[in-house]
Amino acid sequence: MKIAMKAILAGALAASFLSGCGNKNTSEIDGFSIAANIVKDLTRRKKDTAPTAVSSEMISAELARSDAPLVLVVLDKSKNQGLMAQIATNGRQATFANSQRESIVMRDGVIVATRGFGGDLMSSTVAPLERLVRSKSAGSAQITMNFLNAANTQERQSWSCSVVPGGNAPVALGTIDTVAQIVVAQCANGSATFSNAYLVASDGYVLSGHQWAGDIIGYIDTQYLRR
Amino acid sequence: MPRNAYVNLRYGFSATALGTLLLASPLANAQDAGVSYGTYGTPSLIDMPTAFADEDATIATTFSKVGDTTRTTLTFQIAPRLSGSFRYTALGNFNHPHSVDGTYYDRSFDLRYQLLDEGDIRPAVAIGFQDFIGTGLYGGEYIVASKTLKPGLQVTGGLGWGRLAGHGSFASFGNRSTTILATGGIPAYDRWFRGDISAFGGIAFQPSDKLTFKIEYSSDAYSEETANGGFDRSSSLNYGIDYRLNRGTQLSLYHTYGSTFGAQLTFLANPRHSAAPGGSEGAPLPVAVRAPGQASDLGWAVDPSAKAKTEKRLRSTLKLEGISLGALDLTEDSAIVRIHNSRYGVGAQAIGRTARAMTRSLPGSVENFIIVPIVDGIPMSAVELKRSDIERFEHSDSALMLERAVVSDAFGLAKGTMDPTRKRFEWSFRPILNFSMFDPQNPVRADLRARAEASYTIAPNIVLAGSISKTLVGSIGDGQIKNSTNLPPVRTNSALYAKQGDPSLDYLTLSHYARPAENIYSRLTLGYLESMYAGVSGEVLWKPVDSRLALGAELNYVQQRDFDQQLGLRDYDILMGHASAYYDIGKGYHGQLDVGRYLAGDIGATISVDREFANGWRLGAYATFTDASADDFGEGSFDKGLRFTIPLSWATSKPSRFDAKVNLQSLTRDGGARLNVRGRLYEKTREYHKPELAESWGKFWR
Repeated sequence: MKIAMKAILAGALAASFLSGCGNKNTSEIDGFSIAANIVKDLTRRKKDTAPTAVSSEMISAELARSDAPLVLVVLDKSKNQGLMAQIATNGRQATFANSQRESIVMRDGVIVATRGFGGDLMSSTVAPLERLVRSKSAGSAQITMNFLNAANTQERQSWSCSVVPGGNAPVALGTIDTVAQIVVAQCANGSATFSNAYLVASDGYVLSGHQWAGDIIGYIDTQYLRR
Repeated sequence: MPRNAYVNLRYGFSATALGTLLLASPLANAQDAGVSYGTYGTPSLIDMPTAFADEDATIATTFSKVGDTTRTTLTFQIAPRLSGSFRYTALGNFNHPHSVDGTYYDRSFDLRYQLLDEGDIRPAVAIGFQDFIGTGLYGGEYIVASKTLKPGLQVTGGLGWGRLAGHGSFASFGNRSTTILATGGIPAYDRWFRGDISAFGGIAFQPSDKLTFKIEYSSDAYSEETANGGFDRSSSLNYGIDYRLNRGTQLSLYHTYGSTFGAQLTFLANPRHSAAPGGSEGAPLPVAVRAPGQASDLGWAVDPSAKAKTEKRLRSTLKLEGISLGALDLTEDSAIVRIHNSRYGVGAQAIGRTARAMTRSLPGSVENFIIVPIVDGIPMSAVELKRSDIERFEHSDSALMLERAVVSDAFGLAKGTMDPTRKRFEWSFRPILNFSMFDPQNPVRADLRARAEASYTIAPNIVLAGSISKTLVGSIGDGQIKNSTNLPPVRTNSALYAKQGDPSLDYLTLSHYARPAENIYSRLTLGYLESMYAGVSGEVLWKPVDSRLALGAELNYVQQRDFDQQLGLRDYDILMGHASAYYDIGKGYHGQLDVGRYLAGDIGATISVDREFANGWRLGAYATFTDASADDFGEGSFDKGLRFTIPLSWATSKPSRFDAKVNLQSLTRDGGARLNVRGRLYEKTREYHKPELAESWGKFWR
């Protein structure tokens, strides 16, 4: 097997220098480019980059650029911060996106889907939970969340959540400056659990949230800068 | 299915190269304290099997070296209870007429079936056939039981026959045959569970998720290795330590038979796990929902420039998604959009992104969206969606959209117009790597070649394509010529082709694709079809869009090419071809039957069974039985092999239409040999048909 390994090493080396050229629109590749791509991909993934941060200047600039609703988003796992502007609405669902083509779909601040993160929350049925959160009342709710597995088939997760309202807290960032009520939801699916927290305005709008969006993404923190 | 990037274009494939691709791949959710693999590359203690089965669809690639014995094994968990292994063994310092420089090479296949899975009280029980179709170096059978006594402590005990009854036999059942059936390569059923019986067993102790200590009592005598090699068996006790690295990778160290040290690495991969399930590509464009009243606004219909503007807008929106727009038919309430998808390996995703782009580009009165994927100039299906459904279910479970999507035959919906933004002339220049395996003189040969390919699209469905390549370094041409059979040498001259074909004209073809009737697809290819044959190849396929069954016929008249792979031809021609039935069995299994005449003029059938995943992964096996006798065929008795398709998108989590196709043929012989013509119809046709679209419909909204 020595020869094979040598050939593969030689191939991998050759591929790193010469991944081919052509005029095709399609990214047509052979075994070499596959290897080169994988190597590239793996090395990129391994690179530890410092979490991106959002400055107050960036917030002001983005608020001035348009009138669209704006959200500060923090991915709990990577601590990456970013701004997402509302780019579309469909009924009560609003799609917020950034220039890296990552998006979050929210219903009055409650996350219902994500795209572009990998391991995305494809769709969910969270209306019963949403009702309790909006009305800031205690109770229990059944929700479902749909994900794609690596084989591209949809997997549904069912969660039982218990909702408890808490005290008040100030919410002040961007154009928002108010006091909201804390509502916590503890959800369980067998031995797996997550717990979401919401800061709910007097009209039921979730101005800020710490919401779970699946195993891969983890928690997404959101804070409205402009409704 | 996507266009294939053949990792090797020669015969056979290196298990190591496949391993390289697999071990470079992400395996998220790796089992923490998973099944332990042994030196044979199967769930084992050290040499002795256990009754545990790995997670369904796991692929384990094992490299082990114990003393002078080196084994490379690929084990696939075919179904939750069934697994199969392919093993390539090199015995060093081995005195045998077939040894090369003192090394004897041997291939073997195993099958294992888990009769009982582990319960609270019940142990796991498995039955195994080791080296069940080879010449039998490792031939042996076993029944084994394993039980987890408490977390981290497992005991195993079993009974072995054949190789596994070499030492310490206590009973015997019937006579174990020692003759080889036919010329080898067929199941050695006259030996199974016959002859001496021995007991074996052992204990595995796991103080942590990372670490396992193993001790076993082996019933393997290593008699061949002792008699013909330098093996010294002075004890029946073997000791081992496993260490789990990331992604389930197992590193093991052994001390065996009182005399020998060994080491092992096992890499795990599973088509059902990846670093970013569902893909990490950018978010799709949001659906643009029409304002109330906009649906009945027909103002655009009277504006003569409106259609051109709409088309331009749709074209640029689709381009953002990597999809190119063919002809657009626009009426007041419906639009037929032809698309060329060169980005998404999953058809449903291309359809979904097109539908989103349409909501953003088409006038409000257009309610019926008809999306027609075009492949090689012919329409593969027509997916009809209601715009109001797209608006309504954008953020809902994708099943709701699937229920409302109508997939129908697109016969007659092609318009012979080229997308003006597509290039007619395409070319590429890149290195390729070819492998030749299992030559007894040298188990792996490889050629690194430079290849230039070009194609010219004369009409959307007529393509002129060619490729030339030149060896940079390599040794395939040094291989042995093994055509000492009674069949015409239709494949066994491969080493001569490799040696003299430098540079080579790999192919030069004119292809024509058409839809002669509803449910019917056709292909006609003329020219230098592949490295060894030139001629004409015609194919017709019947495949209704919602059918799991397809029927096809292929007829080829070919003449053998000169070894130098230039324009000349040799004095061997044949009319050959097959009638084929393809059936998508469901639950991820697919079967194919081809009946017809093969290159050497032998008549017979090929049976193939594949396990398929909606992300494009495929693992399968095939066997060809023809009227060429086992003696005419030579070693191996009949043609058989394993095949794998690994989609690039699975390894990188980015959408791609490329996959690595690997054909692991046990031996290259002249019986049951098929033509390697490019552009066969079935895979490209089924990609956009209902069963396949439904399978991966979860990607529609991704």
